[in-house]
Amino acid sequence: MRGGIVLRAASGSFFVPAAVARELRTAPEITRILGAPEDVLGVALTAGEVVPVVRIGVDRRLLLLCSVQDDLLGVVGFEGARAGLFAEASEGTGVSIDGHDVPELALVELRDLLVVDRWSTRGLSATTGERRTLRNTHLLAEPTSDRGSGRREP
Amino acid sequence: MADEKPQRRLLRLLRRRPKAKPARDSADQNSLWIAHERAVTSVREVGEATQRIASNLAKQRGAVDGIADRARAIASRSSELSQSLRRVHEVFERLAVLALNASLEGARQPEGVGQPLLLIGDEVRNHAARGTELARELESAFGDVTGELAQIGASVESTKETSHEASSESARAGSAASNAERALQEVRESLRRTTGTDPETMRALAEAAEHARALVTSLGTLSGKVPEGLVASVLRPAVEPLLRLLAYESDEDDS
Repeated sequence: MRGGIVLRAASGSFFVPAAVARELRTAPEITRILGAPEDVLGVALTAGEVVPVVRIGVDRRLLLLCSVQDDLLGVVGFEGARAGLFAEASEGTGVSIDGHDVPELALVELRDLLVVDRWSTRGLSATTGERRTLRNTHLLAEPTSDRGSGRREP
Repeated sequence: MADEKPQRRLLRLLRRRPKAKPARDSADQNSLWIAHERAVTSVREVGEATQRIASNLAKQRGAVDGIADRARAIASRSSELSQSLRRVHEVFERLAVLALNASLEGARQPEGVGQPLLLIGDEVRNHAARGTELARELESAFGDVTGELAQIGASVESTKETSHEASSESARAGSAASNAERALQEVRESLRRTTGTDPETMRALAEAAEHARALVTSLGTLSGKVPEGLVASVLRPAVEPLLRLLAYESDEDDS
């Protein structure tokens, strides 16, 4: 059995292990960042910390706070969730629910979206060399913010 | 002719074929006055009916205003309840999040240790889901009620407008009735001047003619059955003034 949380998004269901899933919260206000890929919604202040937020769908009501290799990452875009112990998937690292395999959410790949050097340089000064991630770079955030509007939907 | 017995003169006079034209004039005048009286009565009834309609419309407007106030109050209350339901909905959603976090915490614990948390989390989550669903249904029902109230409000406003229009029409009708009454008053004066009569006189004349016809009919019935002397002695006190009048009129006609 594997403990964790299964997120139900429009694109499918994804499993997040309990060791990684820290807490589920109602989504706070998210501040956009210039030049960020469309799946990086911005940064949000939650649980007393500024956390980069990525999306796996369109819903903006809930946020799952995850610890990915010492980095905090907020995930939004799922309509529902189910937490508990689940049977392991017949293949891969996911779990099985009602006979269906649910893949594990590729959080490392999502976190890699935060590597600023890979972003479009539109709105940012071009940087090369040093690998910078969004962690501790929230000062790049736009001064104005709105939650759930003005963003391109997938 | 002066030596003729009065009752015979009366019968002769009464049986004498009247001059055609004056009789027709008199009948026409009488018809005119009757028609005038009917018109006056009808116009007066119209005026009174118009006043009653205006009064009833005023009451109706008051009632409709009351309904509109109540509908507005209900709509306002409904809006407050709808907001409360939205808050209830949010509370259930937060409860569901809490339950999921409890289950997550239970899943994070070693096997067996986290079982109570998992059970509680599942139970609370199920209740929260039911609560959320019920709150959503109630919100939807309140949305329907609010829509119905909006329609009632629109209908009430329409009724108010219709009532207002009816009041205006009623006022116009009342004004027209007053004008008609004044016009009939003028007609009455013109008739009085033209014919030299008035409705009361014409009515009295008509009644007198009716009584005279009844008298003639009665005399015709008695003719041959009762001695004439008896008839004359009974009728003389009553008809002598009439006989004198008719004799005077006849003398004037003859002269």
